[in-house]
Amino acid sequence: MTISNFLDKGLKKISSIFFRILIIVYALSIFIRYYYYFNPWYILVCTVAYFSLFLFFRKDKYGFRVLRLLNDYVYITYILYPIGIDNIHLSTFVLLPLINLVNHTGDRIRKSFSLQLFAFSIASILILCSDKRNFYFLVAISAIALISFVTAMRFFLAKINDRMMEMIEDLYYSQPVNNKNHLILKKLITAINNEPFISTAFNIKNVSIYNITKGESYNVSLSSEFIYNYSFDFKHKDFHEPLNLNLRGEINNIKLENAVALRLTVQREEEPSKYFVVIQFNKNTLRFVFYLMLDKVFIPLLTRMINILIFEKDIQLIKKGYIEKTKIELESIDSTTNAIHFLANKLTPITNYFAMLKKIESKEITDEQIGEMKKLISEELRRAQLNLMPIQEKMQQIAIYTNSATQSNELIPVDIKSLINILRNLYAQSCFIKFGFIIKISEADSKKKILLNKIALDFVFTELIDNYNKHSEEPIITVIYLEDGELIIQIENPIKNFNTATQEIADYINEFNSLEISELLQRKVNKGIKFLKQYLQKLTVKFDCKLENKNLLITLKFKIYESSHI
Amino acid sequence: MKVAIFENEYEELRRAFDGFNLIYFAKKLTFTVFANSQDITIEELSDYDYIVVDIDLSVNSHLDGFQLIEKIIHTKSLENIKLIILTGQPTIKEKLKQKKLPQFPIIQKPVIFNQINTAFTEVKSIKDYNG
Repeated sequence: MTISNFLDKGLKKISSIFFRILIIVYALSIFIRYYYYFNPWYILVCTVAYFSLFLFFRKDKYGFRVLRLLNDYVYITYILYPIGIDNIHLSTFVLLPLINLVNHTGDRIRKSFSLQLFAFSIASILILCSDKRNFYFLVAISAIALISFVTAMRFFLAKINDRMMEMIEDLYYSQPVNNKNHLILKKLITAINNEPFISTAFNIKNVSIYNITKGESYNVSLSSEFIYNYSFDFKHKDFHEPLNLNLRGEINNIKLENAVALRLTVQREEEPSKYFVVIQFNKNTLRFVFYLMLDKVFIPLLTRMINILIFEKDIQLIKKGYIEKTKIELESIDSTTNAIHFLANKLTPITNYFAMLKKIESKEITDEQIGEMKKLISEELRRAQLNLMPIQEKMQQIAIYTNSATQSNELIPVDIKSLINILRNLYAQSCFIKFGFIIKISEADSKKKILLNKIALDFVFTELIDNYNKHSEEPIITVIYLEDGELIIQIENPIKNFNTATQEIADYINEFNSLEISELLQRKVNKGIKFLKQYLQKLTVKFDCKLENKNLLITLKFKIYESSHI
Repeated sequence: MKVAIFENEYEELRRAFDGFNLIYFAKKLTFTVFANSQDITIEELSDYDYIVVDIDLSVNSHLDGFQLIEKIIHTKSLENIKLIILTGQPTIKEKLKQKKLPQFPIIQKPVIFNQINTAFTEVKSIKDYNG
């Protein structure tokens, strides 16, 4: 329990105790002032009955709350009954429970003026009054009831908003930035649907948030349910409309019904980030309640969620920056292979120098050969001396690269759903490329697992996306399906200048597929390709690159494990 | 006798080759060095008796050592030439096997002049390997 909750509960108790004391003191003062109206037994029975009911229902939380108010009112009515409420001092006694209601702040919310209380107030007044004052009391109580109801509604909305915000914070305390954002949306839907008042008005089926890219297309950023595919029937930039009340389209091949799209813009330092949110209802009998909640609850809440998404995207960009930076260190394999080649050449004069010396000492050669051999030995010695320093430097470099801790080989089990989310996020980090996913996997299969080196996956896709950014203006289509116990990820992208560079591209692809990384490092290919091959190998997947109908197809095959086996 | 050497850092190896030429061939060998595969056409290689190919050629070379060897052994006019491999890679024999290439004699780097002689003594013409 937080300090503020503790204080709140304490104050509530104190307020309740003061109120009871006030009722008793007020009652006693009436007894004393109008003693001739009362029989002492009458007073005693009323007071004992009041406290008995109070104590008896104490443990039943809901019953206690209702009966306590009724009990107060019954008690007051009984006390006032013999004398009536014509006197203004006495009539204020009738209003005490109402004053208490306004003062009542349990669970940080204001309770609405209950129907029971309203009925009892009216009944009490009808019993206690018979003249025209009756009318004034009815008006006053009805007005208080109405004000109380409206105030309670305002507090109710604020409460929902507070609860949702707390939920977001709780989730991030327990699971910091870990591709688990969809849990927030799930919890949000559960919380909203479990509110008795809201659930009679509307019931949310799913919520999904889409990022509007610079290219005027949109990508799913977050969803309460896993989304395989989606399409919306936006007519002419409709997703820029602040509110689309009747959104048409499909999510996971199911036609949208009762869906609305809400556009949200989050202003950032450099430029605004544009999103739209699709909310689909199970039922929306009183959808106006949703619109009432729009400004106070949904827009602030969803804007906050989008801020979190942007924050995560920023973290990803920092990570990407880190990847770029560490690429220099990741040249280790490249450098090691080259170093071996370098050392093998540089050591030749040294080893050959000693071999030639030995040959002269063996006296197996003629004097004439010895003379010429000595010249060669003298040359070789100078060369060997020159080579010593570069050899030493290269060895130091190898030592540095060998100690580099940037290459992780850790494989962790990841379900296919999570992998797709990771891929979507990786693509979404680049606002320059258009991409689409075709997912041909059933809900049951999407829970199957693969073993994944997340760092290697990051590197592979960062490198791929960088290359697509540089060399392609066409959309990248990623097809994901299962085949023969393997998860297949096929990345398809049309090749620019295909007709003029067909042979060159074919040779390039052939080299990429056939050469081992150590061989590829010796070729004049760009570093990106070298890294790609290096990290594809670290991913421990089968991979293949080929040309098909002017498209470059890169296929990754992951072995699928039943979750119980890993 | 003429020897074509594909090696981009020949200066490191020159004295070993010269020593080998002096001791075992009485300076009868003539070495011509090519840093890249594109520095000579495949047909022109028929003028040589021996070809020494470094597997790890320069990144500027159009073909790497394996690709060059494949091209040479599939050229009919070069079937009488003797081919020797020069490399620093310790697993070269396995790689030749993987690539289904003949087991040509190997001069392992760092090079020692009398090792060159061993390779030159063992080597047979390409057609004998293709046999």
